[in-house]
Amino acid sequence: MSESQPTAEARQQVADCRAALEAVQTRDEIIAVVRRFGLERIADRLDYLIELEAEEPDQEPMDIGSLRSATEFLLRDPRMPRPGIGVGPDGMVGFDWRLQPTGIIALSFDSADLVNYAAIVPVPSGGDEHRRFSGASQRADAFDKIVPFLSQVDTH
Amino acid sequence: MSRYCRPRVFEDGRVKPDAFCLRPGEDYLSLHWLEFLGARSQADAVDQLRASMTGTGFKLGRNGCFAVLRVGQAKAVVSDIAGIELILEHMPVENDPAHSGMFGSQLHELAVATELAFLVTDDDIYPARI
Repeated sequence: MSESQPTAEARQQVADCRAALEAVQTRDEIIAVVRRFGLERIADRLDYLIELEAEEPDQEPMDIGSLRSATEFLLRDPRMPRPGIGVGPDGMVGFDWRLQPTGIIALSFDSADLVNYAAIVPVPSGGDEHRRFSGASQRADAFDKIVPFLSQVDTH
Repeated sequence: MSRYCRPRVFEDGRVKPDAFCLRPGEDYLSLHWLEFLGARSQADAVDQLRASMTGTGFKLGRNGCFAVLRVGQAKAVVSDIAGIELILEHMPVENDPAHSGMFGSQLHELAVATELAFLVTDDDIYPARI
């Protein structure tokens, strides 16, 4: 994923979306930024998760600060594989990726800049062995921790 | 044991780690100990569970699921990897004889939840509604 640098046009698109993200105030507006960034399926999933709130009014709604942080994360690299997206019991947005041959990366975005992460990643030439790491860090650090493994994402 | 996974933590046939995270204020993960249902198979147990939960008035989500985990395997994996002892306690309530709680996941919640989600195979997932 990080083998080539984004084009100037892609960098400009990221900058435009970041500026738009800073200006918006609602969850729908944030999702519109995601859509504008070309991430239609992610935007559709986020819309669906918000629609579900009407069916489960006893559950914590999706936290807008968490959604904003998760979107900021997406904007770090437009070539990032599409994550699975959920909402935790506390309303925080979670991303997850399944890895080939087996593995998983999970992120949970709090309402500020903190990201909880946990990963089970395959060990190269290690057969069924996995390496595990977890913790909490600023968004940029979390990105750096997981990005080496995103080339192994199971896209099926 | 089985965990009911709401539609918000289930996507493309996969259970998300968030499915095994606690709600704010909870000190145990609510789940069901299928052996207490006395069913002949895992699928029959989930059928009973589906009926009993619906009977208590619990609304199962149209795109939710039940994820089944083996207690011994889950406890062993989490203990080996995170050094955390998960404790499963049978906590039956009226019309829900298999209700149980899993204690011990709070400290490294996302790490434990990720381990549990990773243990769930395609064969261990049942639709919440049929």
